[in-house]
Amino acid sequence: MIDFARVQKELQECGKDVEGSGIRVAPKSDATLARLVGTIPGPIGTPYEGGVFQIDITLPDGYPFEPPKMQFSTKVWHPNISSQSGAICLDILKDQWSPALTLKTALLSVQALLSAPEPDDPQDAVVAKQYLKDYQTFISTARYWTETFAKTSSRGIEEKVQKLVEMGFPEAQARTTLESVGGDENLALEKLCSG
Amino acid sequence: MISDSVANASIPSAAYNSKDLGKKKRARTAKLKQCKLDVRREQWLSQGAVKNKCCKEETNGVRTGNKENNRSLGNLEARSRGGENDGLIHHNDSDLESLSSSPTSLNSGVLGGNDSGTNFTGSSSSSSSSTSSGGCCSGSITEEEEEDDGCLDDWEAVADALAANDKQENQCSESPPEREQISETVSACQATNGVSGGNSKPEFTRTEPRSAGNSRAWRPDDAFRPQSLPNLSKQLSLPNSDRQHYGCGGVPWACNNIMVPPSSCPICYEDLDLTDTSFLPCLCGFRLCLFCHKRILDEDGRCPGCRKPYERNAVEREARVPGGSLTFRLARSCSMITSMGLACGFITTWAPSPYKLAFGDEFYPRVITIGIRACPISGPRYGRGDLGRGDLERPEGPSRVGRHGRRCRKRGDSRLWTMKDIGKQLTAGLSNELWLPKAYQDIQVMLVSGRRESHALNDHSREITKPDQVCQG
Repeated sequence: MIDFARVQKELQECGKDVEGSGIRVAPKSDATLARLVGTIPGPIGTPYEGGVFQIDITLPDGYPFEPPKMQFSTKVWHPNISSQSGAICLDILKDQWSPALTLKTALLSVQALLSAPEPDDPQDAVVAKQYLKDYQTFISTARYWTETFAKTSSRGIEEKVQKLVEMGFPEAQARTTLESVGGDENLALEKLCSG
Repeated sequence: MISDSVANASIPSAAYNSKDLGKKKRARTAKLKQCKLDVRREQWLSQGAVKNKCCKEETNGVRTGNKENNRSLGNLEARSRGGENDGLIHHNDSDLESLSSSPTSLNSGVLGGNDSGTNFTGSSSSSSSSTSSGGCCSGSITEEEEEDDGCLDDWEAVADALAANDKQENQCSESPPEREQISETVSACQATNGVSGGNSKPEFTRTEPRSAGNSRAWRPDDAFRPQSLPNLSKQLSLPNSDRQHYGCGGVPWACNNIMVPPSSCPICYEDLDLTDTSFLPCLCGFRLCLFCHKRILDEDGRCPGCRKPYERNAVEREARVPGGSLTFRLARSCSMITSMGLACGFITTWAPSPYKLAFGDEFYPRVITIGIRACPISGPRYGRGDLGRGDLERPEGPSRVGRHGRRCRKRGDSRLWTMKDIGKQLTAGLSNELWLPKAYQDIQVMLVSGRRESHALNDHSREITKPDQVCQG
C-alpha cells in the first residue's frame, strides 16, 4: 500500500520550492496519487539547457520503501536514458533507493544525471557510443533533441498557433497542422512550408 | 517518596490497623521478617566477590561482627548521609520517641532526646528506611493496585535504596539490640500510621522536613556517593560518536548533542513520539520511527541514511524471541542480550519484589518496571501498579504531578536508568555488563520487544503491556 500521506506531503513540500529548484511534481489525474508527472528543467551549461523534461512517475505499492518508477516522457538524447523508451539508468531508482529519498530528491538526481552522463554504464548503447567516440556530435544531437522535444512541449498549443499565424500561415491551417504532428512546432512549420 | 508512602499508606493502614492486630504481634512479625532479611542478605553478601571496599567492609562486618568495622561503617554512613541527617534526625527522633513512649503520645515526642546515642547516626537512615517499608507493609498491599505513581522510574534511586537497605541490615545483624530497636521502630511506625489515620496532622508535619530535606539519591558527582553505585560519569566520558549514536532524548549528559532529533519521521512523515526520538538505530545518526525501522528490517535492512545494513543482531535476536518476549537471567555481571532494536522496547523485570527478597515468601512476587522510556517523564508505562508505592524505598526526589495526576520525576532527571542507558552500555561494546543493584542479582529481566503490540507475558506483567498503554507517548 502506498503511503499516500507521505506522497501528499511530498507534493506539498515540492510545491513550496518550485521557484528554487524548478522541479514540479503533479498527479497525472485527480483520481490517484500513484501516477504522477514530474518536470525538471535541463541543467544550465549542458545541451539540455532551456528544455523542460517531463518524467512519468509510477509509485509502486511499497513506496517509499520501494523506489518510484520513473521514465522520461520527453525524448532525451543521453547515454543513460533510453532514446526510445525514456527509461532511466540511475542507481538510486534501483538498488540504491533509500526511503529517505523523496520524489523531489530523485528528480534532482535525474537532473544531475543529465549534467553528468555515465557513458560507461549506459542505458542507450548508441548514445553512449556516440558520446565516447564523437562528443561534438553527441552535444549537437542532444541540443537538437532538447530544442525539438523539450522546448515545444512546454508551451501551450495556442502559443504555437499564434506563432505560426505571426509567420503568415492561416490560423486554422496552423492549428490542424500542429495537431497532426502532435504539437511539435518545428515539424508543423516544416509541414506547412513543404506544402 | 518515603514521605508519600508513609503519608499515603497511612490511610489504608489505618483501616488495616483498626482491626487491631496488636502491636506486639506486629513487632514479632517484623522481627521475624528482619531475621529472614538478615539471612538473605548474608547469603547475598557471601555470594561471589564483592567489588568495592565499602561492600567488603560491610561483609566483614557481617561475618566477623567486628565492632570497629561496624563503627567505621557507621561513620561512613554518617558521612554519606550527612546531608540527609539534618532532615532526618528530627523525623527519627520522633519515631524513636514514639517507640519509647506509647504510639498515642506521638505528639509529645517531638522534642524527645536521642536515646540511642552514638549508634543513632548510623541507624538513622536504616531506621527511617524501615519506617517507610514498615509503612508499606501495611499500606502497599491494599494501595498498590490503585496507585498510579511512577515509583521505580529512578533506577539509581532504587540502587540507593538498596544500598541503604544493605547498611541497615548489616547493622541489624551485628547488633541485636539495635535490630530489636529497628523492628520495633517498624511496629511503632505502623502504629503511628494507625494513629495518624485517625489524626493525620502530626504525621504530615513530621514528614514534611523529610521530603524537603536532601533525602534523595546521590548525584553522580556527589563526594559522598557510595562506591557501590553505578558510575554514571562513565557515560559522560563516552566518545562523541557514541553520544550521537544514542541520542539525547532527555538525558542531560547526552544533551550537548548537536543533532536534534527530527520532529517527524523522514520516511513516513508521521510525528515521532518519545520512544522514536530516543531511538537511533544506526551510527550514521539517521532517525526514523520504529514502524519504518521495522519495515526496513523486514525488507532490505539497510539504513535509509547511509545505506549500510542495520545491525542484524537486532533482527536475529528478535527472531529468537518467539512471543516477542524473552526471559533472561541476570547474574551479577550479566551479559544481557539486547541491542538497540530491543532496547527501545521495554524492560520489565519479573522478579521477587524487594519485599520478597527481604521478607521471604510471604510476599507475593511482583512485576517491577525498570526505567523504560528514554525520557524520564511520566508516561503510562510508569509505575503502572507494578511496584506499588513504597514497595521499595526510594529516597524522595523532586517530583511533580504529571498530566494524569501521577507523580513523576522531573524531565531530564539524569538518574533514571533508561533502556537507552542500558542499551548504550550493552551495544556500544563498552561493556556487556548490565549493572544491577546487588540485591537484583537474581532478577529475571524480561525484554519486551516491539512497541505497539501486546505480548503474552506471564500473568504478572500482562497488565502493563497492553498496547494502548504502550503507544501513548
